[in-house]
Amino acid sequence: MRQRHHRPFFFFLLTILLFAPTSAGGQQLGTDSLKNNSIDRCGNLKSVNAPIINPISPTSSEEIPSRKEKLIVSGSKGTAYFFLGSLCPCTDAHKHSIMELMSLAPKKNVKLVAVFPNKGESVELIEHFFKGVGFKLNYLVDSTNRLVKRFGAKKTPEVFLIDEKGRVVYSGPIDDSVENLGQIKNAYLKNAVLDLAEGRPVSVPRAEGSGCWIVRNR
Amino acid sequence: MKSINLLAKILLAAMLSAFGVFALAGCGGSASGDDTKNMVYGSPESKMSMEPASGPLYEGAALSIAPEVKPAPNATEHRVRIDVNHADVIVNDTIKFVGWVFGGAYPGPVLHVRQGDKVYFKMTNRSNETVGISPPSPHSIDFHAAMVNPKDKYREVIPGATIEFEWTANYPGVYMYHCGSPAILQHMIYGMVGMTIVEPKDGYPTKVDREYALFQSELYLAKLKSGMYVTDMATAKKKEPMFVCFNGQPFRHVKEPLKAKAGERIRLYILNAGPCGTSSFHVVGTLFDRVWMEGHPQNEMRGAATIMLPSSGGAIVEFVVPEKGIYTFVDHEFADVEAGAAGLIDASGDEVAMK
Repeated sequence: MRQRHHRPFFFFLLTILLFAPTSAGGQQLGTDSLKNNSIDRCGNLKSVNAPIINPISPTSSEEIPSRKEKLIVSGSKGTAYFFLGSLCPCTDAHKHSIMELMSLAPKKNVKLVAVFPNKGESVELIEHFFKGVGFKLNYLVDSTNRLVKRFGAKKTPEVFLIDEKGRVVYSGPIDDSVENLGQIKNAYLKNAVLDLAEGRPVSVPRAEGSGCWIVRNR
Repeated sequence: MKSINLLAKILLAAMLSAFGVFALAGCGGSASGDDTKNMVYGSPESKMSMEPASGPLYEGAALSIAPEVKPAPNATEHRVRIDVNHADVIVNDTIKFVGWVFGGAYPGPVLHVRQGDKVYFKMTNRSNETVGISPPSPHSIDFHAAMVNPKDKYREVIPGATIEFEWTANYPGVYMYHCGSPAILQHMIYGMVGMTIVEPKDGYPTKVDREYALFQSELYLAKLKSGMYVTDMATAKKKEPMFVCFNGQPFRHVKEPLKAKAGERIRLYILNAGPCGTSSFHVVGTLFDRVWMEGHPQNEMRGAATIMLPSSGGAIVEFVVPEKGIYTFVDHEFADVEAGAAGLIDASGDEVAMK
């Protein structure tokens, strides 16, 4: 008799565990991330022990191991991943916003990392790209597109801001200047960084913008 | 009494004469009248679709590739298609770079219509067809000859999408078209530039034996350690071109001179596409009998040796080939000549123009 009374509870618990919300406090991630087992059931990007690859040594950034990448920089409030393309013209339109963030983000303990995911990307092209746009970010070459798959990135530039628990709190363009003929009406990423740093929910967690397609390696 | 009557008659005659002059002045498109009343401002909203494209990268009887200028078709409406694609641009025997171009050509096709004509324009962004060359990117087009809402007609076209819109050629002229997507400078140095010729409704006041299109543009390239050439925004921002070209290649018309005969009257439709520099256009050995700035016959100069073209500025020049010989044309800002802005008109043959 007692076992019978426990069964409904057991099935109830199993149901809760199986169908728990995939987002808890952060933005719901795409199905690609779920399939890749890169997020846990609470929607947090899995963080592991290995330090982020030092982007100053580009030769060590060619591959991002699938299970040992730490996407949150220890001690930081958040990390913004910029998916960029060295042959994509769209980043130039946002360069002033990016440079403003390069000044603001350290003060808010938010790290900025560029990711170059396109097939055929090379350190030579990336260095040339940064020379052309007039700024330089720490960068990773996502030659196996692991980060593309984990974030579900589709275009360049596209930004994913994650908090200290690895949850994506903002994804989308840097700002809306392209849509407004150069005028910034919504500084999406800057506002998200400020919200995150000051402990507020990000007011605009997702936005759409234009950009070049990511040409995947696989 | 008689003198008053005479005075009244004189005054009446003067008033009628004055009225007649004003009435005549209001007619037609004379320089002193208002010819804007027949102009068409704006056009219906553009259409965007994901209609797939195939076949040639440009279509339309009004199109040609410089230096050739096909006559404007005998029609008042023109269906024109110029698609965008990513392709290698050949600079010379040893240099090429990944370009973004209109109609598969650098510079893009020359569009030739008449004043008052309507252009039904279609463009597909086919940059998604060549992902191995360059990532598919959004592009757009900006026709300087058109008077339309840029936010609607010149809006971004994503890879694989097609935009359609119409515009009316209100003014005669030589105008530029180019990609208007940010960063515009980058799109232009990648090759997204072209020329539109709008000739007057009733044609030009002069007859010529031959005509050519000359498109001046700058190439900003960097050579990477691997030997690859890529476009270079850093030097573009400093206005330091690696090459300055007529019709897409440095010294192209030194290798492929334009043909002429002694005694012929030649018309050149010239456009300085920049994107950063000016041009001081000159033909060695002759003078320009006619210069129509911006390509409009009402903006006339006579007997000019050199004409100044701003970036995106155009003009028409006409000159007589005085005798048998080779005539060099240059951008007289001679640093540009060093970079490739020179060409030849070859009238060295024994044939002379029939009088």
